[in-house]
Amino acid sequence: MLLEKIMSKMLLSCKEATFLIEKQMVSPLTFTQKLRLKMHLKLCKVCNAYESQSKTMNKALEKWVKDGALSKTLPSKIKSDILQKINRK
Amino acid sequence: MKKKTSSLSKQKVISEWVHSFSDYLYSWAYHKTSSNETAEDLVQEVFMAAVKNYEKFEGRSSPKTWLLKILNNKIIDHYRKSSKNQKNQDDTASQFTDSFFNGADNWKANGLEEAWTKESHLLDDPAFNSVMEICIEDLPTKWRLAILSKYLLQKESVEICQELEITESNYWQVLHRGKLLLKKCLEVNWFVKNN
Repeated sequence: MLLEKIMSKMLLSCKEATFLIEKQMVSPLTFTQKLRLKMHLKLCKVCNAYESQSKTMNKALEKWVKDGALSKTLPSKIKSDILQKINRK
Repeated sequence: MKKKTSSLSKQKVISEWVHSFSDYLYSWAYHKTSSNETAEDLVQEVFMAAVKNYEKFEGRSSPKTWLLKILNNKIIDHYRKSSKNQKNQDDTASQFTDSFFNGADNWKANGLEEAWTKESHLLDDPAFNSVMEICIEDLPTKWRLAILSKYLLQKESVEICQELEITESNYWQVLHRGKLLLKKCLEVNWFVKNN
């Protein structure tokens, strides 16, 4: 009973563990957080997989941005509509 | 006489601006609102406002900066109008990401854990990347911005938090939920179909 209590105090849930995986990518974890995450990842296959999936998603996001997410072209129909409206005034 | 020439040239000048800056403004608006349609409307509004307020543009800033300023004001208005809607969107999405976990907050297995590792050339597949794009567009606005700001604008966490008006711990939470939702969307729309 006591052991169970200690274990549940020490062990993270998967939701907490995945939160720390994400936090880790933008901000350093505290010593305890690091330790608990490490323990969780040793035991949990799904969260282990999540960590690599998350990195894959990061790479996909980087690629999406690099491939020109910010260089979209306004449809020419809209462009000519705007030009028409301006020159009618 | 002078008035007449200036009105003629005003139309000419602003038409030039449409050619030079509309793609840039459109991309910006799209990135901020995650909707093609909204971005199109906003860009139209910007140029109409430019025609109306042309006299206030004194050439103290570049036309691009001036237009971007008008656009940003329009975007803020747009957010205000949709902020109630946005709150509902966030709540529904949060409930959804919570449902990926059981009562003890551990994963509910979905059988797709292995599927991700099978494809080593995933990112070279254009079809995957278009699914990715749809999934990004599908995220609640704030979640999407939290995830994208980092990659699009190389921004630091502090700056992103200020812009989104959230605390740092809130930012981590939004990142977490956003990634969970992205993962789910990719699994449903890609890994199930290609497994």
